[in-house]
Amino acid sequence: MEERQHIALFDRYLSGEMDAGEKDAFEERLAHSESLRNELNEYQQFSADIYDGGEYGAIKTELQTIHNDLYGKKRSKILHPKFLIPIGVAATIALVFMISPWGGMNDSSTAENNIYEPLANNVEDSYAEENDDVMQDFVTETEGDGYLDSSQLNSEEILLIDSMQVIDQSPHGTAFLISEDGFFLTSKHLIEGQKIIDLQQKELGLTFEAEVIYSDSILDFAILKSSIKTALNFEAVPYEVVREAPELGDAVFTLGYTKKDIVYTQGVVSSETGFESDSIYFEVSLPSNAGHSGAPLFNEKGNLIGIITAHLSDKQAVTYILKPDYIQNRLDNLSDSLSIDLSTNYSKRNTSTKRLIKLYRPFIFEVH
Amino acid sequence: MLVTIDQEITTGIVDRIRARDRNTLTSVYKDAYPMVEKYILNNSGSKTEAQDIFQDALYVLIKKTADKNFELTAKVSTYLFSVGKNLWLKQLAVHKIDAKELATESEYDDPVNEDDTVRLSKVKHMQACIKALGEPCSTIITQFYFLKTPMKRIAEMLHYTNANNAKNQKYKCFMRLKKMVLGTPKQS
Repeated sequence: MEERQHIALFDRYLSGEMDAGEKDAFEERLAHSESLRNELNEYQQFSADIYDGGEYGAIKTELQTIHNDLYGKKRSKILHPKFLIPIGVAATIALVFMISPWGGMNDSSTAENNIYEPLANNVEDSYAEENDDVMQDFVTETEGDGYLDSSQLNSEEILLIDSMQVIDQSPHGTAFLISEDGFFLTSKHLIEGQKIIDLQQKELGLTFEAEVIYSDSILDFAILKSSIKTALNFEAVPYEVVREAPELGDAVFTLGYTKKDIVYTQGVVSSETGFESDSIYFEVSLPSNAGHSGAPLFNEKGNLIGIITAHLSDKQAVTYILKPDYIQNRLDNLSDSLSIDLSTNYSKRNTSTKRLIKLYRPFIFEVH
Repeated sequence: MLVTIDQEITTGIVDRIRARDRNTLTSVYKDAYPMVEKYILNNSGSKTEAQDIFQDALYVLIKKTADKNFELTAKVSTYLFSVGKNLWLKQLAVHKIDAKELATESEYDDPVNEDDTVRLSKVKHMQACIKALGEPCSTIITQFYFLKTPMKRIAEMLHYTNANNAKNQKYKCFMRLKKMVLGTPKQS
């Protein structure tokens, strides 16, 4: 018992949590007791040893990542996805992303009909400006042979900041963890043209930078990665991507940042296809708002069944979701070259949605 | 005075290794790893062992650069090869395997001393023990003693209802770790 109290005292002393009076009293005690001094020294020494062990582990992980980057297996194969999307479809998506699918109508306020809206906050201005350029790029990019090319994988190393001041603003959107090594999924339209993204998880007390390491040319889908140091804060992801197509009537829910705090929303699968029968997406009847972009969609069992992408402007309950099989396929193709460890601590369970929400909350991040 | 380009590059590289600059480490890795792997594969080792030994050698170098007076007396790749070779020979000796006499390209030798090896096996042992603690202990211990995260925040991260519960848990983890580190024999 005594040792426990001593350690608690040492921790307070060493971290500077003691106020002046308490500190003086403690130092007085130290001066008079050799055994307490020895105990403190021993504790400090052992703490330093633990630090060294932790540092060794962190350096090893870093070097192993370098090793995998240099000599990772099957590198050349991975860049060719196992499935291809016909150019026609890709072009349709390209159009869809331009907010204004009715050709030439750039100003969304003049449109009388339903408009497909990506759900990022403040996305309008950047889209309106780059409308033509982006569309041009988009189509040429997908023309080629339809394969992913290696230039999409960003191999340049950037120094990321692990700890920043808390950002007290409405997030642009949402991202979620898919690997405890610090990999996140989000919507591509949220991060378009950026290399470093600020992420925040207030419950974990984390505000940090993540690098955009992959941004898909076809799907509204991107992968972010935090530094290894930040990743030490994460635990194994408790959800898994399902492969089966969602069925009409399936109950679903999402956790996203439509304001500064996390928001729970539930809905139901309403169509097996997306905007204008786009087969890459499906539709849910779920009220969505700006900030929902990039949020994960879960079914009743707590499996990940898609990423929220967009909704119809005048019917906010019609929300479009990127299908899980496309996400899983991309991840399969990329997991080796990006060395993403997709192991989860997912177990089949019958548990209430409330419990799932509690369990999942720390894995959902604000995108700024 | 003439300063050769080589020296300049070598001087700069120590700083960059100290800073653990990712690009530098990657190019060093690329330069030096193949030699070490070849040596170990030719000398009763596996690829996994080669990776482990090489990364340990690089760790030793990174730690050595923390000393501002540290100077590289050879090319980084030569240095790492020599350290890797020595670490591997020590490991073979522990397992009582005779090393083949292999011609090495350089005469440069033994930049690691006994202290370095002892320190290395100590941190390796510690790291293995932290890992062996399992969850939530490895996280708590790493967060508190390595990342210096305040207990209050660790408690929030792990959803403890109050910081005292987390402190108790940390104490238990600490004692388990201490027992494990002191109680189990160190690996080579």
